[in-house]
Amino acid sequence: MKEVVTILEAINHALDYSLKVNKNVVLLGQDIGPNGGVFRVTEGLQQKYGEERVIDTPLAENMIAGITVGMAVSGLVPIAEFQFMGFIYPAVDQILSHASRMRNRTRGRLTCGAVFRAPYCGGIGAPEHHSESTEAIFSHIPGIRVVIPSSPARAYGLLLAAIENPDPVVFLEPKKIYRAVKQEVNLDGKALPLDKAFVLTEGSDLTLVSWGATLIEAQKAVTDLAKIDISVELIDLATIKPLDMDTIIKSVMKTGRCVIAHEAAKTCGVGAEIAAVLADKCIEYLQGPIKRVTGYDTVMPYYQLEEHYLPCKDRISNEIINLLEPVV
Amino acid sequence: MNDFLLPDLGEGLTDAIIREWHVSVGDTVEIDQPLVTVETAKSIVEVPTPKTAKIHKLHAEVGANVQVGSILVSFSSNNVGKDSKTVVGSLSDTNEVLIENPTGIETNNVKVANKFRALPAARMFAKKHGIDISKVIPKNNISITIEDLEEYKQKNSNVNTETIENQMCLAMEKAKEYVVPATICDEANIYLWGQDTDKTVTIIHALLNAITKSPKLNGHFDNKQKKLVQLKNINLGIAMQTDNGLFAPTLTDLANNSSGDLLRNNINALKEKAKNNDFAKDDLGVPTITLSNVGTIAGQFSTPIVVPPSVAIVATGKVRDKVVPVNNEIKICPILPISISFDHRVITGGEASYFLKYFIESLEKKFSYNSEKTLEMSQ
Repeated sequence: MKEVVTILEAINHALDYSLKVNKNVVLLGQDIGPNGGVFRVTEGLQQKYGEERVIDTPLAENMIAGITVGMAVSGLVPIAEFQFMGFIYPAVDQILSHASRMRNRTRGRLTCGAVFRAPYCGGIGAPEHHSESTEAIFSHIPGIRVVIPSSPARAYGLLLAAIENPDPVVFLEPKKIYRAVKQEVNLDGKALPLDKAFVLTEGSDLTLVSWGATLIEAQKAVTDLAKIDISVELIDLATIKPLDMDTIIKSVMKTGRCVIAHEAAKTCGVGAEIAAVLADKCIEYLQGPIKRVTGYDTVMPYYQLEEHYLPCKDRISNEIINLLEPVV
Repeated sequence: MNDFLLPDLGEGLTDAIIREWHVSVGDTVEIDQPLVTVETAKSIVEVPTPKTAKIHKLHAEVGANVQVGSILVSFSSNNVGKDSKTVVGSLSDTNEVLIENPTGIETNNVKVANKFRALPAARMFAKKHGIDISKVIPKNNISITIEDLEEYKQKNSNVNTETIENQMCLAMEKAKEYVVPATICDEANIYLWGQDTDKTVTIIHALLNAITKSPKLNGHFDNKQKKLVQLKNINLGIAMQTDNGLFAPTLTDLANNSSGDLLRNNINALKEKAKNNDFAKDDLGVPTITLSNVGTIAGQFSTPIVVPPSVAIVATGKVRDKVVPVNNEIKICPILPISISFDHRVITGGEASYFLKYFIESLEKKFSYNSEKTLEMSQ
């Protein structure tokens, strides 16, 4: 069944499909029932599957995560929604101290196949705590997978994969582009691989790695640069942890240059890890420094300053042009 | 579509008669705006609009009797209280449909020319020397090294290394690239020298004396190990300016060929060869230290260039009479200016200064250079 959907609708379809085919799948979170969640991602699901499978919880993130861990260990497939990534921090204790290490702690007897969903990133003019991009925090935790889709098809396929995965997955949804990207998606219940980056355009001059809402800006930059004969290979990282370095290394060995664009703050961001592995594995192929176009090391500013904080297509293009044509 | 039912009007009443509609189909109504007036068995009641919406249908005519719980009015769902679909901020929509392969693409279709490996230092070296690194073939077949680039540069250099000017050019480039030079200067009062003193030979003898006392400056820089290799053998390079250009032939094994006459003969022989540009291979060996006597022309102090692998060069300037104090008396004496450049990577300023000190001491004493053991000074 092919349908043109937004990222948000794709996620709704993936949840709907999972609830339908697996009776162990349970959704829980604040206002996800009649209200359909803060962004209406779960709209209609409680009506369809009932209050026992789509559960409205109180406003207590640590409790939501705790219940999720308990359900997962008991054999259910819980999918917890946190209203914003900025409110997931009370749940980090459950995710880090229990979900991530359940398999190791029990020597494989118990696993924690839970999905922790949260809208993330800025760019919608929200107040403080509503624009977080701290994927690096979760990427640092052993035992956790971190996934950030950036198109409806990948949102659908990767969420299905996250739900099928027997270990915990933090699934971060770029809310800025929830409705800003539409795509024809084959709603066939097929999952995408959870450890593979996606090459979106092939190029010869430079490798551009991005993810989340920034990927949309990266795509625009690639289109702009093509007009001045700069050929960029664009990679959607998609699975932040584990990092698919093989795909990136293969590309950089070919192009000799790499720019990483992400919205999160630069220091200790995921871009730093990619740069470090590239320096390790293909330093002899590099024809220039590895550059990062990122947010700044500060709290996401409000409203109009958001646009200044977020890496835009021009910032990405400029960095690429500077790298290819160094000013002597 | 949303329906609004006649609410329970209280006091156990089960129905009401529509008296007046305050809205009509198509109206957009605000919450709490008067909707309809109904009459019950007890009273006339005004029912407010329950939500902001657009009226789609009125289900009863004026005068009709309506049961509590039956449909009173339908709201058009298109316009029922517009949901911003977010509790904070605003999400942008799109009508554009993204075309892309959801599972990524295969990437073997772009041809990339000149695939090669090289460490950043090698790339930097190539950039600095204007070498197109993509044309260099690495010796180890894996990664291009600086040695590969040096070799490539040598082979592909447009410079004709046969010519004297170009030899100077290459030597100077090499000096500039590797050596970290420092220069110290001083003067020697040579009033004790007689009219017939062979200046060059005397200077060389003083130099030998200084090397004996401070041997570090006679050596080569080992570029691989990055350290000084001190040498016993003294091969003195002598800079000679001729009409054919600058030569620096070598007086080999100087310590064992140091008698004044022999030295003078050897120098003269080299001068002759320089004139005709007719050096034997041995004449152009690698010096362990170099002397440049520019004083025959003009100029006092200079910053002579240390050419690797040697680590020091001594330059003597033009002798002039100067007014100087000697034994507390004012005298007019011939003064020899001296400049010594050394490679500061391996020679310290102190070491060079000691060398200079011994050199000056030797120059300022009159010593016998006619005997076989030339290094013995006469008191």
